[in-house]
Amino acid sequence: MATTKAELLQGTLDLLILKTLAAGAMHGYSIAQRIQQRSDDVLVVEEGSLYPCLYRMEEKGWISAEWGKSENNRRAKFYALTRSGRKQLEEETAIWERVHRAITLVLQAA
Amino acid sequence: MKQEIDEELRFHVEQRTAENIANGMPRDEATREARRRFGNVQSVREECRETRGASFGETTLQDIRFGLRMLWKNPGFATVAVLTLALGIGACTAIFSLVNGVLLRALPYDQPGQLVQLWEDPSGKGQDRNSVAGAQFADWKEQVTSMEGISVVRRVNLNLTGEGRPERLSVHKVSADYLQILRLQPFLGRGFLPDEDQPGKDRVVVLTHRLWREHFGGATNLVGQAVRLDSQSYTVIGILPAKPQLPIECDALTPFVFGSESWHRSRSDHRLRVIGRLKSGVTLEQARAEMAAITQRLKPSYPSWKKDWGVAVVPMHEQLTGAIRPQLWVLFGAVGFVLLIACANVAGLLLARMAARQKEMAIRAALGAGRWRVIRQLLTESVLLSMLGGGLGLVLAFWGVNLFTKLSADNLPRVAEVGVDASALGFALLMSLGTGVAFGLAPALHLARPDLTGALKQEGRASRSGSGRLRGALIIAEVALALMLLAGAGLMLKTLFRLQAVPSGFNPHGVLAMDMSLDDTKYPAGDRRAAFVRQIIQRIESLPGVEAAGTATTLPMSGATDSSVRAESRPDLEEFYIGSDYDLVSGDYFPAMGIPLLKGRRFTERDDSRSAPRVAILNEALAKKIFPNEDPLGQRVRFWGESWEVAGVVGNVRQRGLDRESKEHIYLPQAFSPFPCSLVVRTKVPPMALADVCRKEILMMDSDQPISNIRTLEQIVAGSASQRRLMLVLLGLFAGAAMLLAAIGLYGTMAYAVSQRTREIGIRMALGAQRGEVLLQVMRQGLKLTFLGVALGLVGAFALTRVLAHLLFEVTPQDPFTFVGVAVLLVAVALIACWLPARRAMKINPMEALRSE
Repeated sequence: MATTKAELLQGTLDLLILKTLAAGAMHGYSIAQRIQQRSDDVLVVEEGSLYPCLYRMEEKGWISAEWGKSENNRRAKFYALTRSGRKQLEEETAIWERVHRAITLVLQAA
Repeated sequence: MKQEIDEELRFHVEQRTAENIANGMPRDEATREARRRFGNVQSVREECRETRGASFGETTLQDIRFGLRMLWKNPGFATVAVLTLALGIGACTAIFSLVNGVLLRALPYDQPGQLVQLWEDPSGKGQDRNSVAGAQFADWKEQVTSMEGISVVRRVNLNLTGEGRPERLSVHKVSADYLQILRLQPFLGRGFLPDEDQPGKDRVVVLTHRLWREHFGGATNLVGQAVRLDSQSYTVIGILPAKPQLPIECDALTPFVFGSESWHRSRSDHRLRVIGRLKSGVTLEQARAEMAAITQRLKPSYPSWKKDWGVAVVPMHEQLTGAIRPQLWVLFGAVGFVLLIACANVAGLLLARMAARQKEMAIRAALGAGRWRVIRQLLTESVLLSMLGGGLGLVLAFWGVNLFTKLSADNLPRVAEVGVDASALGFALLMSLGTGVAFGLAPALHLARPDLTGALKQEGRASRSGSGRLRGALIIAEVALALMLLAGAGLMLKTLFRLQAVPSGFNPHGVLAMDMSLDDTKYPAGDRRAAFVRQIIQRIESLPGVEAAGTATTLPMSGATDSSVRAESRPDLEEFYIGSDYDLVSGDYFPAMGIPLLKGRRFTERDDSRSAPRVAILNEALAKKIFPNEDPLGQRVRFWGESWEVAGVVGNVRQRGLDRESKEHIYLPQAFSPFPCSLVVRTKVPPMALADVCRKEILMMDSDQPISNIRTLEQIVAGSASQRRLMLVLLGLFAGAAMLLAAIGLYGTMAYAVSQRTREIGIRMALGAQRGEVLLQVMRQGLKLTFLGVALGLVGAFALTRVLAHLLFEVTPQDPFTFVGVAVLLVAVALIACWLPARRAMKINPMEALRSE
């Protein structure tokens, strides 16, 4: 059970990060903040797992990283969506919607 | 990498802390909360790093470090491999430097592609290059439109006198726009003004940097001062830069005044070299077409015997380097072979080491290293080896190029421009990379093949099949390449032997030679000059240690001048003229040279005057041709428009070089000579010991009379074969290196094979095999490879040695004697290389061998 849960979480986190970055480049901290705010504090990103996830996505070429200055003028690493990241976002959104619809159907039938 | 991750994570935690504080938490609690929320920094960091994987650079660095450790652990292998590669890459880089400096790089002038030399072309097909007649040059200059300018180059010798020792200079008389055509700016002063090649304005001289430095000590105030050349005063107007040098080297330039001598107006007296520069945008073909058209137009004014002549327009670069080109490419090919052998050798060594490393590789593969990852690591190691070899090779190349340019200064055009430069460094780098991959790839592919269990089980013993065949093939290739090089060197060696055996017609041992130009003002051509020359000869002959002395216009091996001669009894028709070399000689020239007098008498003092009865001496070839069935003595011949009585006949001399049949030759007394002359002195002591004495004796007679080029006649003869000797030395060197490398390779392979088979041989011997049989068996294996290589090499040599054909003399490129000789030599060396390991095999103690593993 534990593994499926982790996979689900991981897959979902990817999607959330991609969606968040679609609005523009930002650093890890503000990605976490933004997800939490947008979900009305329902989704709290486990910060420890955020960074390995970002690195993995960078390795896959979905996002690119660049050092820049943060809003309070400190050195921070900014992530931005790449072309293949945008495609990934579309695909994962479509999958999510399909799954979401399917689950809703199941729940409504019951 | 690690710092970057840390910084990013720290940033996150600090941001969170700052926000917590902003939300009203006390500082220490804010920090604690942020840390708690983030979780275990250590494990997050690790996870990040693992996700990322190692970068290309890091992996390479790791591989290099590992490679260095491996080499350090096998110093014997590393030393042999690096030295072998250094030899190959070094030799290649050295020869590349020559090829690049001489052949590939453009001439060091502005727009060098536009520079050409113009020749009259007796073949009419663009094949011959004959000096240009004065009137011909004037015609061209008037009519040519495809060139920016054309200039004559007329070489003369003038004596520089005044302060210091008198010096005989090689001076080029050139048109006023010569330096403009080359686009050379003087380093000090100026070049010629447009009207300075007009009569009366031509007493100006531009000195080369070398003469200025060596004779005048580099005095900057020399410009504007007067110097004396052949007793005439010339004003120094400029000094040429040290680099670039003039395309045709000399000591100084003075203007060529057209029309100042009668031959300038002649269309059949060919004494000039001509250079030109194409107008920008004009192609060589267009210029050739224009010159052909001009020639067509002028045909009616030419002498009838020149009716088929054309004009050759030769790019300057080709003119200067064309003669050496095939030889340099041959050498480049030869070092290429040496490099290939070196690569094959190192590949062989690497294959042998595979045995020890098969297990290592299998473990790597078992731990998850991909095939390409293993190949990459092995290639890194081999490139590392080749880079070390290349570095050492560069040192060799520097040294070799220095040595070569010193040895061949007289034989190599543009030698001053040759050096190990940036492009040579680039070449060496490419070679190192290329060879590293070339010799590393086969073993790497071999080693990286995924046969895990087999290798792990084998306990480190090599599987013999694949690598053995590959090593065998490498040895065959090495032997074949070495044989081809040996064949080339052998052919050159035989050529030189043949040349030495040629009867030159004179005896070069114990003769001193020097060149002398006589000042036209002080000693105008004629009796006065003849008397001065006679006096010099008499004084030198009276020196102790001197046997005989004499002069001639052109010494053998230093070229020839020719004209035509006819028996006076024959009608004055073209068909009765015989082309003949001529020389003006005095004193005891024939005895000094050791040229035998066959009939009649030599010249005497009485003959040596323009008012004396004309007498001539013929060589045997001319005497036979001009008077086939008569006694030539007392007969008369027409030469230079005068009648000469034949006073004697001398033996034939190979005037134009040892490799050229002797031609007809007529000798006249020195009094009729308008030319500079060379003095030869036959001595009873080593000739060079008298050099200074002779020089002093001449200076005592006239303190302004310089002599130059003091050397022995033997040196002149040796010099005439120096290009071939150089080729022999280099080819011999490369062939020797190739043979040595091939022998080492063979030895290594056989020794390795024996060490692998110790156990097997031990069993055989335990079962009763004789020691002799073991020896024979190992030898047979090695010799099989050798014979295959020799056979292959003979086929290759048969096809390739023709590139040497133009250098060979009385030897065919497929000379069977040479081919058999080098094959026997190579087999003999191979025998030794196989015998050493075979003997070791024979001495294997069966009991120990069986216990050893």
